[in-house]
Amino acid sequence: MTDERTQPVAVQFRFDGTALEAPSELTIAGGLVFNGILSWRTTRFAGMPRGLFCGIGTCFDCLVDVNDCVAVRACVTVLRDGDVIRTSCSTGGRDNA
Amino acid sequence: MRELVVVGAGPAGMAAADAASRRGVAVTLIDSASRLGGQIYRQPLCDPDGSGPSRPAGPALPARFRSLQNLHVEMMLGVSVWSASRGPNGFTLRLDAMSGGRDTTVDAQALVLATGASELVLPFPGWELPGISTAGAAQALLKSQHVLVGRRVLVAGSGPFLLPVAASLADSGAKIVAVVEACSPSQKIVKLAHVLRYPSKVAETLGYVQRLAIHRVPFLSSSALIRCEGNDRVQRAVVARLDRGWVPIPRSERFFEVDAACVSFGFVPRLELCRQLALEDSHDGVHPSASAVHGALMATSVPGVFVAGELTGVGGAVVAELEGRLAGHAAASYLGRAPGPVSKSECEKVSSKLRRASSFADLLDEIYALQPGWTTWPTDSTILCRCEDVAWGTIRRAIDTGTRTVQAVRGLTRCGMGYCQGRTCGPALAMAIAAFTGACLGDSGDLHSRPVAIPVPLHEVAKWSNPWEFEASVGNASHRRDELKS
Repeated sequence: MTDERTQPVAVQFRFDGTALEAPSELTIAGGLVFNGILSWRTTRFAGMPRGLFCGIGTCFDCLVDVNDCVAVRACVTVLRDGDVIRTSCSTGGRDNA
Repeated sequence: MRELVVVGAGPAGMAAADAASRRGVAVTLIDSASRLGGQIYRQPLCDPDGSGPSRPAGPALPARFRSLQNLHVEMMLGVSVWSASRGPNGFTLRLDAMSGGRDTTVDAQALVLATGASELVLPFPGWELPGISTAGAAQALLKSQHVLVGRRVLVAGSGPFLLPVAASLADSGAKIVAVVEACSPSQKIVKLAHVLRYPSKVAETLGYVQRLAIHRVPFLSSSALIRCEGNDRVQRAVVARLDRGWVPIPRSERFFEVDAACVSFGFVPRLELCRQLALEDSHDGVHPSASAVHGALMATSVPGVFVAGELTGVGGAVVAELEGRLAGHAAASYLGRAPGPVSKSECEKVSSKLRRASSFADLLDEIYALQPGWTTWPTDSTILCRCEDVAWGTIRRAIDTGTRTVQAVRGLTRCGMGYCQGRTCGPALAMAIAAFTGACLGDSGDLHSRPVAIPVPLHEVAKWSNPWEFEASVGNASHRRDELKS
């Protein structure tokens, strides 16, 4: 979902095995929402799906696993070409974008 | 040892850095984002590994801040401050650089804290469904990335922030099914008349109203989004009319098909670093959060530490910038730069503008005061703590057993113990305790005291060479709240 303005070159990435494309200079959350994907984490007790919430890095609801890092904040982490992104169900880890 | 470190590069922090550096102070400006501007002047993303942004997006940084680059202000961007402590000669900040590599601590003779605010969302059934975000998240995604949160969007909550968010989403092609405001303008007609004394603000508001009218967006006042439904994502939003105390009126529900909902009930200061430095703060019993105590020139209870912007009570970008300018001047004076006639006259002008801007912010506070009826929106199964899946009913039972402080409810239920450390649920929890027990808001404590301001890897904490120092900082952060418990 994006507006009408011209988007620059695309980056290619994978989410839970699916190949996706998004404009460059998006966050991981931006790239997933751009593709209509709204959830990429399950909560540790109830297993409920979660995605973007605060959008500014404070709520940690949008944690996602990227390449070899677990529990990265999708809303403040830049999406890079070739990123392999997985739904996060970890209970801890390093937010080391 | 650096001379002055400013934490936060929004309008308050940028103005402080500008004012102090113009008086010859060596300033370091730190922000967790990779660009200047903070949330309000949010700039396009900049990949720390790559080149700069290739497309224009978001509002340009006002020209008065662009000169910061020429003033030899040292920029530390993409760097989060996770701890602040006092030493014999000044202050130590501990840093977590998202892209790694740089200094892990900085020492400073003086500090300006301008860490801003985070958004307040009050809980309702279904508020944790994917597709529901803060209004700020929708605005951030649009301003810096040109991505819309959804195609059919409901914007709900309370406060002046709803209008610009709805207007920019509508301008960018989203169908805004309604803007839902809990307050009732007609009940505040006398206060609204006072708004007319601020013509530029009236013009700004009319601009948003006009844009929403062009897109035929319905504006529902005295109403709230009281429930969202959907299968793993929001699909239907239920809006009810409210009485004066924000209790839903029976059989007044309206239903909207949506693929996104953006919610905001205002903003809460981010007081972690203030608490770590044991700065005095106070709670007025009305706002959802405490704010930092300061003098007319933004000095705090700790000599050498100044505050500006939302930390002093949420007042918006204009107030923040004026406070930042004063804080920068005050820090320069503290560091021995005698104020010349130019800076004296600037401070007088800024102080007078600040009085006017602050009285407008106070007026908005009165118009948009939160009412306790929101505590009737959640059901027992509604999640309050989004990190730890703690339900409203669990919180209610804890309060029913006689628990009277936020810290104690947290200990009993794990509410506020997750990744966000209570930033999201803490203010709502404090307000719920006040509403259920009749206690004064502010007397039940809060979750602002965090010895580690953002989650960092253990090896960062392990670098702290003197464990006693760490313990002292933890003590600073929590001692006053412990007194409340006893």
